[in-house]
Amino acid sequence: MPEKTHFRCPEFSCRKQFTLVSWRLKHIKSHHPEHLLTACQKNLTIRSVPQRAELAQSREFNINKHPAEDLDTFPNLANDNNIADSESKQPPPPLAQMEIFPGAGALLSDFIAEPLERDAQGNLETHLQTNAYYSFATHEEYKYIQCGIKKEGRKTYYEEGLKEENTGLRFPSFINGDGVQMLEASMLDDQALGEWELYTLEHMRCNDSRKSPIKYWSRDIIERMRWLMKHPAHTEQLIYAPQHCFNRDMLMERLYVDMHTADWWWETQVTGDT
Amino acid sequence: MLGVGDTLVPLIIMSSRTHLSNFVGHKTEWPVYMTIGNQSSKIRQMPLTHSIEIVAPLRIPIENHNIQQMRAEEQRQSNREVLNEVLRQILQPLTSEQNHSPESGYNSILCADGNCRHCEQV
Repeated sequence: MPEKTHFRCPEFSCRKQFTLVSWRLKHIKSHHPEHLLTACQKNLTIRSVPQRAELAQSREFNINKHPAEDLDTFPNLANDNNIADSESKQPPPPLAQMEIFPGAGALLSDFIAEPLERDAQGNLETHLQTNAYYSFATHEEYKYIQCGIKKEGRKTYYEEGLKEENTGLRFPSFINGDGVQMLEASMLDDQALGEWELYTLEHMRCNDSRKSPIKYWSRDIIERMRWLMKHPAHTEQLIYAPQHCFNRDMLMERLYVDMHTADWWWETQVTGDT
Repeated sequence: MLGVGDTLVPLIIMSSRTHLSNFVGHKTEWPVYMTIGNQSSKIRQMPLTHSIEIVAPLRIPIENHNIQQMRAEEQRQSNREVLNEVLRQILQPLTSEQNHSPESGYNSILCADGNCRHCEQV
């Protein structure tokens, strides 16, 4: 069982303990009136203001009394004047938690979509409607990526199914290191992963013993960036302008959360004034 | 150059050696990933948002323990040159002057909210 909080008499020679504030104030009023004002001020700091305001409003017949005279029954009425002053003041305006760079991320009103972009958008909607495994082309391709992930106590997809279907599907092997590249290159052109191109470094070799030039597959990063920018799943998450984030509790304390909240982006952005 | 009201699109390129299979042959790849900085990192790192794209699966360079000791430094230098050349070609569209001409429509990008913005890649 928790112990009761004891309130002590402020007089050093007395130091008597009380379990209630009202008893303590009654004791001070009768035996140590010189500490009465100090005790009332301490009571103001301990109690919360809204609670005292409700009590004072519900007992209007005690407002005109001296606060020290009625402390026994209504101990909180000692600070009515202070409460009234605090209620009459206007609350401070809320602190701005976020500041967005003005003018950044403006729309292009005279934009006329290129045929390529219209086609790309149409393909995107078609994929999302018809293919549940988007951005993978097919269900087999989705399983192909997962087949190398082996969880504890479970057989992989390769061990369960693809091992028997290997011959029929002509599943590419990893023996010569070209399996992944061959699979990626064999994808349909109009699918999500169909923009791969083979590049060759003619003048470079892995070492002197290898005569064949270095080849690698890659795709255009600008097209990938465009795809990420127009993906409908990112509609609410995309950020077009830098921001200054502040802590609401600590005045003018900056919060650096993401890239768009850093100073670099804000300083790089060009204002209309300059 | 970034103009008034333009949108900045920071491109984030990352690469890591990834273990692919436990079967036979080559078991690892070295993919180069790309994403944009216009999302919060919390959203970007969620796999279901598909915010990270594979740009190029690079070949694994020849490891030094497979060759003679006297040629290890030479092979290491060769690996660096190959990787540098491949990354230079992958990032070449960002610096191409032909792409940045106003007639190409390179910077006019359709965004997810259906509007078009003048974006500048960094």
